[in-house]
Amino acid sequence: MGFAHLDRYADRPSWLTRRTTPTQRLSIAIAAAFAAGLMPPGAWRALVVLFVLVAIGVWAARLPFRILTRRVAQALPFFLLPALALPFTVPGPTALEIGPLTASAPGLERAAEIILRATLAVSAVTIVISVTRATDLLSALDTLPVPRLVRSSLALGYRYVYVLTDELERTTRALRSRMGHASRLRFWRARATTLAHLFVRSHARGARIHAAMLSRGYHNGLPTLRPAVGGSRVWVIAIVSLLAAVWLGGMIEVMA
Amino acid sequence: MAHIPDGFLSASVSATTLVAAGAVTAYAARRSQQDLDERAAPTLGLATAAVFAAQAVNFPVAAGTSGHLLGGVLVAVLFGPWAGCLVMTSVLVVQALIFADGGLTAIGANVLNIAGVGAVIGYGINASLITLAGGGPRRRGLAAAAAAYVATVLTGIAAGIELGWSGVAPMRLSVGAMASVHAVMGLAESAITGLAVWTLARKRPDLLHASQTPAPPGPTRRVVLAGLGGLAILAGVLSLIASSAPDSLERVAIDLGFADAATVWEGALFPEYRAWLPGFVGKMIAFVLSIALLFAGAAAMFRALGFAREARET
Repeated sequence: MGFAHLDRYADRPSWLTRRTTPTQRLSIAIAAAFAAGLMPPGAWRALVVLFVLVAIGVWAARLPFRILTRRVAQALPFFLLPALALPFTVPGPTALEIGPLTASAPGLERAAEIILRATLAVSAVTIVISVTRATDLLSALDTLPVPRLVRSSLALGYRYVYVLTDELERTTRALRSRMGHASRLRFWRARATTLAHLFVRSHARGARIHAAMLSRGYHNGLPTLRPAVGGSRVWVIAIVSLLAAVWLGGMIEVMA
Repeated sequence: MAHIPDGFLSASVSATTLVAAGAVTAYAARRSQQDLDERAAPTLGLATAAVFAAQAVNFPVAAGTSGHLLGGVLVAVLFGPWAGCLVMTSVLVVQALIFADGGLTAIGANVLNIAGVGAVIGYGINASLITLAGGGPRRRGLAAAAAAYVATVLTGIAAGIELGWSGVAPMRLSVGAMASVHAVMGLAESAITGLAVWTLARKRPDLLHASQTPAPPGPTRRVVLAGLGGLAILAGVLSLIASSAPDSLERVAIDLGFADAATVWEGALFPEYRAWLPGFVGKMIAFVLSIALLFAGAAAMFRALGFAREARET
């Protein structure tokens, strides 16, 4: 779980980054993820339209296709494995037999559709996340209904995760150099101790940071140095309503 | 696996869990602001970063596979149930947005399962075990390990219920599959949490959340015991309802948790009762007995281990 790659493709000039603020971009991504994720089963035509829209999104963000596929592929196991169980659990006429398992035709269709929907939802979010700086993303959360404490935890968490990861790496290196051939049990014990140690250290660091924040005049709320500028509300409203229309179309398609 | 991806939940389940998770998060934010007052932001921010750093540490399991800490019970033990819930919510938001681990449409369900059930209920189990068995370092570690295991399995069951409710798979199957997957995953989570809490309880007991002090034998302990007894009776009554209304959602949840154990006891202990007792009475006795035995067995093992280790330490 690395964090260093986060901002590599941020701030590339593109249609999307020129026309939308981070908040607006994130709203579009969330709308697309909901349209894809909550599309009723069997709405194939609406899914095709959504696929085209996401493809346009890749082009509008000028995100290299290679990067998108690589990042989506990293998320693939999260939804591919559970989806592959579906052909064997959904009842229906047998389509093919693999050893003792029988895959049903409706089950296969269901699995294919869920994989497509999840891929579209993940792609939409990945496109926007990739072309937006993490700090801008954090300030974008300010305008969404996220509790203030969650937002400040995320902002401070982002600032210190690198520090803590480095610290943990140093402790781990020290651990390895001291117990090269330890048994698995002892190794587990040592690593768990390292984790406990990590929490002790982060607690102490939190107290220091709090003192430092107070001395700089902190009173609830973290300022941002990059106020969001530009953006066109019209485009965002148009895109979000288009996505909503596609979802409604899918609902009607299934009911009809 | 604990994280439900996009595309698996139906619109109604997604909306319901989102609203419920929103309410839980709002309450957790208010409670942790009260508990931690103005230190809340730096404490929770650093805890969030620490959970992310900790999740990057791999623990070798077997045959080249490895697992990592999820951390719900660990942060709850350190910062209290509501702050722990909030930290896990922040972690889930980042995982959904940046790592696509868990879908945005399923974020409500994932917050309920992992932050709600995992941290808050895990904390409750941990606290009641400490109240029952005392609070030496070994016993605190064991209590955290037990709580982490149960909380992980409950998280899986919750996810299974949501998936079944969405119609992805029959309820019985989805709950069963998720429960068994998490029953295996919970072993690693339980071991890591237990070892980490044991270390913390020895080295820095002041860091553990303040309300986890063991109660002296007396009223509080009686309340906890009465609570566990009440839970067993409730399970018995629910099983009664369940057997009379076979198609309800509750039936499946209870069935999968307890029915197999109960069937075994019914067969083993009451073969002759079946002849003259009405069927449901025998079933009810079997349920209550099986749950009581489960609790007693766990408590006995817990006490034996705790006492033995504590004696050696002093």
